[in-house]
Amino acid sequence: MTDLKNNEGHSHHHNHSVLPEEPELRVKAIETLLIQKGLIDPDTLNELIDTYENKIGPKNGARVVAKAWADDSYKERLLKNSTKAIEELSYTGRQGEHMVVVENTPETHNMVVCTLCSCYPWPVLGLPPSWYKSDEYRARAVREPRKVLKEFGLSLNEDVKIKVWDSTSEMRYLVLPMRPIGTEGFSEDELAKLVTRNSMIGTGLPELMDD
Amino acid sequence: MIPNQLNHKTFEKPWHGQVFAITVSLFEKKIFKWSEFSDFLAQEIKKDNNMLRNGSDDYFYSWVKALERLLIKKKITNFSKIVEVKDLWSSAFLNTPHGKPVKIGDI
Repeated sequence: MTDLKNNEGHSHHHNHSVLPEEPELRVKAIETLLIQKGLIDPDTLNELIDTYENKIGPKNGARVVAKAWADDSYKERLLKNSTKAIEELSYTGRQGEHMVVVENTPETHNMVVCTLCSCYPWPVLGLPPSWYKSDEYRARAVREPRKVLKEFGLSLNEDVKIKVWDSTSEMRYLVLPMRPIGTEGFSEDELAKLVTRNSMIGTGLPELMDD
Repeated sequence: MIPNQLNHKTFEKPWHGQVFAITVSLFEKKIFKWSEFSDFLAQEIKKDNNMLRNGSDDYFYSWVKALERLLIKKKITNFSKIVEVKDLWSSAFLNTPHGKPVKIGDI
């Protein structure tokens, strides 16, 4: 336990443990009740947390994108039946049951939002970043996508059409960004390194490394 | 301006991860359908939708409230029981000397 924050530089000693904030106490209460009922197991919880903190993340999605860039027949399968093609790489499971991959082209840029809550394709992107769950992004992505993209540092030409996809608990989207120019001859591994998380949500582009 | 965090931490606080894992774990046991949970989550987020929520602490607080409602709806527990156990934890924290493990007795 650490001392309370905002103690203005002086050490603030407590003779009791620091009382956690309200939601944390509520979570502790729920956890206690569910363990008592045998409905959850602390080891399973720790494994789940570890999985989403360390094992599942945008690196998975980057493999999908890189393979689509490198292999035309895979790309065709991916756009035709996204869930099945992603399954080929073993990225399956929770919140990835019904995937739709949308392809960026010189004419159309895609971006993904969940206006109601935070639906997101966990197996390929992990859990969503805070901004994806913020009121501002959820409200403005549909209303003024071009302006929002600009704030992400992405200025699209006026003639590029922006399509915004609203995720639901049934349907999850992954953006297939355009392959960067100058990457001819790159291996799949090299290509995967260029794929950023935001480029697969549509709020960014793949990044060419400086070296 | 929408913040563009490059260093994304999956769970900014341990309780965020905890409530996430509890929910997924119950879902895997087929205690509820994911859409049942996400409907409640969307309702909780909407209740307090003021363009100021940053999608971190406030988002997971909505998550906690949604899970509580779902557990009550499924008759797994009730609101007064949750408050009772929460109060036990509060007093345990306030009565446990700093540095000692905080525990509650049988519930």
